[in-house]
Amino acid sequence: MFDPVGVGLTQSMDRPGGKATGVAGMVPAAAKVAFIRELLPAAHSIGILYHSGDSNALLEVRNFKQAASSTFTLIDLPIVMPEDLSTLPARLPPVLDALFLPIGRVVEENFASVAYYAEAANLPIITSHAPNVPSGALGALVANHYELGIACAVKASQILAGTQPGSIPVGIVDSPEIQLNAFVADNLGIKLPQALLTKATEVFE
Amino acid sequence: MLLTPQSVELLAPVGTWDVLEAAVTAGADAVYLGGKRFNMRLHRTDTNFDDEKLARAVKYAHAHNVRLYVTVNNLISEREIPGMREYLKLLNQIQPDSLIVQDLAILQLARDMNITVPLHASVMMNTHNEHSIKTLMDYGITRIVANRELTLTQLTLLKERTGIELEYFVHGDMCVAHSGQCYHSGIVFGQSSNRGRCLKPCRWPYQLVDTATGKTVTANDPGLYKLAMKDMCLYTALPQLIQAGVCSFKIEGRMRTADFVSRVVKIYRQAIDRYIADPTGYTLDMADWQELSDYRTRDFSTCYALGNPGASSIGYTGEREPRFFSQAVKEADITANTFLPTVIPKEFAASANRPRPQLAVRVACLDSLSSALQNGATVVYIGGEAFKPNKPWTLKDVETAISEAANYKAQVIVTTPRITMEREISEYEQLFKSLETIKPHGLMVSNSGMLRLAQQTADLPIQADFSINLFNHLTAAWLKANGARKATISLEATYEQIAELAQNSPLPLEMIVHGAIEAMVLDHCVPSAVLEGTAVHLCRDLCTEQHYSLLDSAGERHDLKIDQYCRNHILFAKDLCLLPHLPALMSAGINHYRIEGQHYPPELVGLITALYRTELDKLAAGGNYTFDKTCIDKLTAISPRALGIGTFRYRISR
Repeated sequence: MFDPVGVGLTQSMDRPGGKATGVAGMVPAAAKVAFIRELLPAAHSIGILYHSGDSNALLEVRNFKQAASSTFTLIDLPIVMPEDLSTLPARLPPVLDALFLPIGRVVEENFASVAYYAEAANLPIITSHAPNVPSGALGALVANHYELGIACAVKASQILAGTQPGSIPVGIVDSPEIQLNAFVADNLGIKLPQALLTKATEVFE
Repeated sequence: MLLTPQSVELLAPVGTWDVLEAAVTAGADAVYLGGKRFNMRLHRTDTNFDDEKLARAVKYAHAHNVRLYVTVNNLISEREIPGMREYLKLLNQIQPDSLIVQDLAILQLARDMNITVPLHASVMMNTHNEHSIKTLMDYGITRIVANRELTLTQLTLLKERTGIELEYFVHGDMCVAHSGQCYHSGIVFGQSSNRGRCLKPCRWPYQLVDTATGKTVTANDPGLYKLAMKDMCLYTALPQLIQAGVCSFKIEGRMRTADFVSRVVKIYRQAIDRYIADPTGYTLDMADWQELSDYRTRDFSTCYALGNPGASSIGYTGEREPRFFSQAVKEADITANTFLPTVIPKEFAASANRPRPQLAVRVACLDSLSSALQNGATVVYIGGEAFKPNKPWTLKDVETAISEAANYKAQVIVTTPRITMEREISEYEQLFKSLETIKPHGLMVSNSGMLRLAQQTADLPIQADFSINLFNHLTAAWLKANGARKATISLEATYEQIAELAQNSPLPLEMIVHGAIEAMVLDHCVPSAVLEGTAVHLCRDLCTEQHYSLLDSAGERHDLKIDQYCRNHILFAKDLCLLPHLPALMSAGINHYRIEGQHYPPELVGLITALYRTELDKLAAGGNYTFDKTCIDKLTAISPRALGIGTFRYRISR
């Protein structure tokens, strides 16, 4: 679950209200902005590529814009249909330093086409979907689903001990993990910062 | 033959441990799965078994009297050979019930390493004739996963002629193109369907257009998803399937959930058991059929099992596609960045012992043949597929070609089609007989069965075409051991992979450097299905007057070339052109070059031949070589399709 409020499962993140609580798989936008800053210190202009029919994507775009607008120049790159990815190069602005992919099924699934064009344009991709990293993204800051499970179990035990679910705040990802792709970095001529390499959970070769 | 409960095996796909347990509990006789290395499902990191889990899975299956097969069905690159040796060693220790293999190199490795686990030929081997089967049996293959294009009648024939065990896909996701012969994903994305990484361009939306005008030809378009094969389901044809002599019923889907696998296995299990217990009293269980149907992913088709299904096998609307893996992209054009060594030696050892580079040209007609010869071709390829409106080569044409080539001291090699089922095999057996007196300079074969037939019945030098999928030197060694004197490098190999392969190859290797390249070959006829809703044999020769192309969402036009057997060959939007990269190829030791000229008019064949001949001779002469870039502009202007660089866009093909 990415957006429990958006889909009407809870009233708010802090006070769900109803009979459900848990952990949302959302990595805070501010953390993603800081990650991109550290990974690509020279980047100014970031394109946000997302499917405009995906409510999760729209939520993350909103959050990311709020968190990043003072750091980066953001360029909105919405697609309406999956096939719109076929003509991506025509829509990329002449000056762009990286692509950011918020969560969202259509872009994640068809990532190969995004990576294809990004590689030709020498453009690094920061994704929100871990499997896109070995497939050609430069990096991602993602939730560890095992840890989300543990955090959820803690809330379950609170409920079993008598706490009303509606009063247990919905958690979000507090210790996201870094994934990097060294092969892509090499092809792009980007030197991965040592600090990030040290912190990374996985570095694909 | 009387049926026993052992007559038929129900074989289930397994991607994770919970699916393994589910399949065994549901009544599978056997399961197949992949390890973390070398198999056809490498996209998802959460499926497949690591080495330790693989060993445990074998123990678990055997404890439950279930056989377990491990898929090792990838083409392997030169660099992957040591890893493959290690892996085979491990697999031989843990003793699954078979290894399902694709690369011919594995046959050689298994023999050299005394691997005692039985081998099965993967569907990726595209085994579709008795001669291929016999060759594979010589190498210890005990079972073939038959081509999905074969009908039950053809399967019976193969079984009777060879005695091999036949495994056939009975349920699940299908390819529209011939397995192991689809290069679309590999060449465009550098992610090969022959190496477990297919990005499914057959699931893209396409318009059917007139090649000449680019205008759509469908007044009532059934839908954009013109290559989107429905899911196979032979539940309703189980009696025919069992009586056909197929011994293993394979369910597709190593990325499926436990719930899905369990349901399908249970339903087939019950039907198979009921049929074997009482064949004459057997009836279809409508409730089970309804359940299969309710939980289907795509709509169902019996695909090729009962005959060419034509339009009925395509899900034109795309509504039930579970997911996509990519969207169409503009293919890399001639100006795209390449991954080539940064420093190429300027001198090419123009010593006397370096033979003049050979330049072969595949032509479609006698006019093109003359054109190629006049402009410096040293070898011409004739025969094989004749793409409409060209006519197949008659014996007289072949004779004319040979006498014409003699004037230039050039060689004429007679080629064979890529797909050779019993009709083509019989025709070529007769041709080989005729060639004893006509005497061309050699034969080029496209699959292991044709290699065997040529080797046994024709007294001519044999070479292997690209469709053999030569990706490593062990495959070249295998070809040599089976009678080939020359081989063609896989179209999916990148420069780095070619260079490594060339260094170790025991056979001279030919490299295709220019021409229209086929992305897919289909037994499904796209125009007749779209325009007439028919199967292939019912069409009114739609392709004699008009030519068709598929237009993708990136605006790329893929020309459809239809051969004399009505097979559809889908071309890449861009023709391969490696003219600027000949120095790199020369320095990698390649001395045999090929132009695929069968889709060009004679004048263009001549012009391209002359360009390559000139550059190759300049390079062979040594000294300072410079490439005149303006000839690319000239070529671009007169080519029927734009020019591209194929896999040279990538450092390695994954």
